[in-house]
Amino acid sequence: MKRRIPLTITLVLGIVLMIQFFIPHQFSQDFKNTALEWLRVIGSFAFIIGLASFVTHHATKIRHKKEGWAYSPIALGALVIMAVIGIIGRAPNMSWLPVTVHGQQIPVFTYLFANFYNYMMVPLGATMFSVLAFYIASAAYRSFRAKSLVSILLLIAAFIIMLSIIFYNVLPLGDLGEWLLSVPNMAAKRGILLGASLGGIATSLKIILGIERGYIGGTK
Amino acid sequence: MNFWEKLGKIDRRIIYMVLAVAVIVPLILTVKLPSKVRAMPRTKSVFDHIESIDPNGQRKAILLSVDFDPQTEPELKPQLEAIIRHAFARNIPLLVMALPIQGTDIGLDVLTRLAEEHNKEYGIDYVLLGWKPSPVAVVLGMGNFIDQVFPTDYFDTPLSELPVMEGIRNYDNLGLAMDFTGSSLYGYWVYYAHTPYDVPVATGVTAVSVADIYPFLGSKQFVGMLAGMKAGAEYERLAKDRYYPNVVVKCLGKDSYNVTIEKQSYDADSNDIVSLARRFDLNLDELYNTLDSQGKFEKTLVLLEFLDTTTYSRDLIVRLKEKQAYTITLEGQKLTVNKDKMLAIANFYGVSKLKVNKLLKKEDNPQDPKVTDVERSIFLRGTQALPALSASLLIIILFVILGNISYFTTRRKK
Amino acid sequence: MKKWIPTVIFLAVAVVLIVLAIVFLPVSKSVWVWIAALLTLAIFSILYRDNPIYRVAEHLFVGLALGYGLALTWWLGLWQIALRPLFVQGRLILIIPIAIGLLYFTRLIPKVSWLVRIPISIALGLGSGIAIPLIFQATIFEQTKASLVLPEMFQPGNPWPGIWAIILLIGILTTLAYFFFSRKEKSVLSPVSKVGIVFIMLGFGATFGLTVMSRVSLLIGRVQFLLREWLGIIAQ
Repeated sequence: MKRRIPLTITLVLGIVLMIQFFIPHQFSQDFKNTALEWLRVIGSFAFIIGLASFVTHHATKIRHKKEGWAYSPIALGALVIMAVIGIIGRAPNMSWLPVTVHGQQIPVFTYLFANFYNYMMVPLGATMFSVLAFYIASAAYRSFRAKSLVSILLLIAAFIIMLSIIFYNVLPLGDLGEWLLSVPNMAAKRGILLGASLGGIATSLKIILGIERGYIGGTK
Repeated sequence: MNFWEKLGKIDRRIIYMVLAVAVIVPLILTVKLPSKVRAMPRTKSVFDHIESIDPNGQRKAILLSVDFDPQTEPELKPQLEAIIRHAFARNIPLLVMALPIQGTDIGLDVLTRLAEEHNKEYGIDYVLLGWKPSPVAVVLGMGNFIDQVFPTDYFDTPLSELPVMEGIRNYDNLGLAMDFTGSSLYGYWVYYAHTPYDVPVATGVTAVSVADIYPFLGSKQFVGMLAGMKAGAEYERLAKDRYYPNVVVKCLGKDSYNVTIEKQSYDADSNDIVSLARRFDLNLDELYNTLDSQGKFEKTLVLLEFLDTTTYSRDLIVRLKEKQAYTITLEGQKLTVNKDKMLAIANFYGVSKLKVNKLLKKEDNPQDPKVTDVERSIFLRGTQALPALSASLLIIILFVILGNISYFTTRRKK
Repeated sequence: MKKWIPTVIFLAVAVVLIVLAIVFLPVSKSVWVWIAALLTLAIFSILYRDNPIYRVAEHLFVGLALGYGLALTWWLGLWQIALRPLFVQGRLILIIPIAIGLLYFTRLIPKVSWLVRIPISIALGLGSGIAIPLIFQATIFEQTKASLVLPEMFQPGNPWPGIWAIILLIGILTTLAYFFFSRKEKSVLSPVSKVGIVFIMLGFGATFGLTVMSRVSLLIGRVQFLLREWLGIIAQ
């Protein structure tokens, strides 16, 4: 029963929406639009799952004093502070405790929220990704070996692209890079796209028909 | 072959240092590129398409979806800014939204800054729609009615109260829907906007996704694509050449002017000035007033800019009048200011702080009041980064080659 | 005893550089910019070695990001499209999707946590049902259509578009052959698959080259921030 209901829901909704695509009648369109609106409403609750996982993970870490547990209070504290500041600070018609910034009056929570975002979240997130550049440089030096014909091909293609970016005004090179992208690369990527799409559609059908049951936890 | 062996085992932190130097040095030296940035066809098609949009027709607006987060900002923000500037230059109504929640603040920040520079008003020329959950439902839902998905904008104003939304109900009123993403969200726009509703779609992506999008370019499902930071620079250049030429008019005497457009200078009389103003859409009245106020026989540099003041070129002339007092000629207006005000203005217009400090040091010697500094700020942020990009790519190519040499020579030894 | 010496030297050099920078450069006077710069450097410290400063910054980021998402999801999602239309504007029909959405909370209650499958299955069913025809049209149909070699591509003076289209078609077919018809047991691939590999490797090589450019661009962006907003070395 606990499995049947979700599987039935998926089956019915999946088939109905697939058929709906082919029916231009106004009722069918209205049904789809209502379904989409309800999907948005339901979707606005979906973050709960991620939030719950995060909190339980760090709470367990603290409780059982697992390795690195001292950092978990920081994560949880940051979550609470940012959430509280955000929920208060972004309320409509918010005007508590104005602070003067650059000659303008801004409520303190809004000010804090904006600055926590711009000067803490943004630098932290952006820097985390930019560290990847160093890892690529190190990998380029230590791991990219032209050991076989195929890897030589790969490196040649990569070199052509990189050189065509550097010397884009040297006409032959820039156009060679463009040719590489629009002919061999497009051929390969289109083949991969066709194959992957067929696979994706097959998987979606399997989900609708209940053959693929991973999303309800456990297969049978 | 001890050298190559050692080279092969080099500590990775030295590799990091070399890359860091390759990035920092070109940025500090503000190396100027030897030639103009040439636009690739995939970038040019987006530009041409936006050029073909009629702001008064049925398909009159552009929808921009800021589908990236701060992680990929350096590659995508220049693209977003360039497109917004282009849209503002053509007076095309802008709708800005986001599929991932962090995109809203990025969009807000960019819009506020650019709108102020271009004298565009919120609600009249552009609107920030904001974010709503469930990306598929959002993209599909807007094909029906945009105000069903976004009943209010980001600031909780009902869309019906905003003049910019007049005549814009769904995708049929959009000349272009463009998203900027560092992940594969571009797929949503092809599958759920272009395929069912036939709205022209373009995308700006990080370079990682570029190769994967070529199939969609080839099948014309995407109008065009902006590929990474370099495409931001290319687009900046395209828009600047078309809409923001740099024009300086110098009054040499009665009805005699010297005009410099993009560093090419020629002499002109007042008729030439009029046709010039028409060609570059300069405000004629403002032009005449400015020239009049300078006095016809004073050798002063007058600066004219495209009506919507932009940051593409801000020329700021500072003349030291006497100790602590400066004359600033800015966009045709003369101001006499003290040091603090001068610093504030210079900062606002982005004059390099190092040069300002150098200028301030000269105030101790006011005997020689002449033009001390003219700054042309490079606001093409994408273009600024290109020399560093080239240097680091060359370094990485070098790393691959060196690594392979070291590997094969040590292997042969064994 | 000797293990910490490099770290101390490194920190000492860093402090000296920072002091020099403050003295000689027009560094930013804003507290927030300094916080941003120090957090940036904290993340970069992972390149030297995994250290507590990095871990603190990392956990801080995760917490902030979730808190940010929570706050905005509340106002732009829950309030604007669910709770306000129901309670303030009186659209009672929305009780149904809101109730379904509330089922997400049952994940926290072990006894009824199976109920969380209901909103998940609704989202999946709707999503899959909508997606299948559209993706079929956008990828299978359109991409196949675009792969056709047409006579118009062979203009009298310019046969190249047609030639490239033929090569493109060969590439697509051989790529598909490689993925669908190559067997793991066979050590010798058929010639068709071998041609496919050539195309695939060229494609991946292009992706790799572009990925390098992408990652480096991100680094350049961060360095631009440090040099521009923090140290004031390069122009705004």
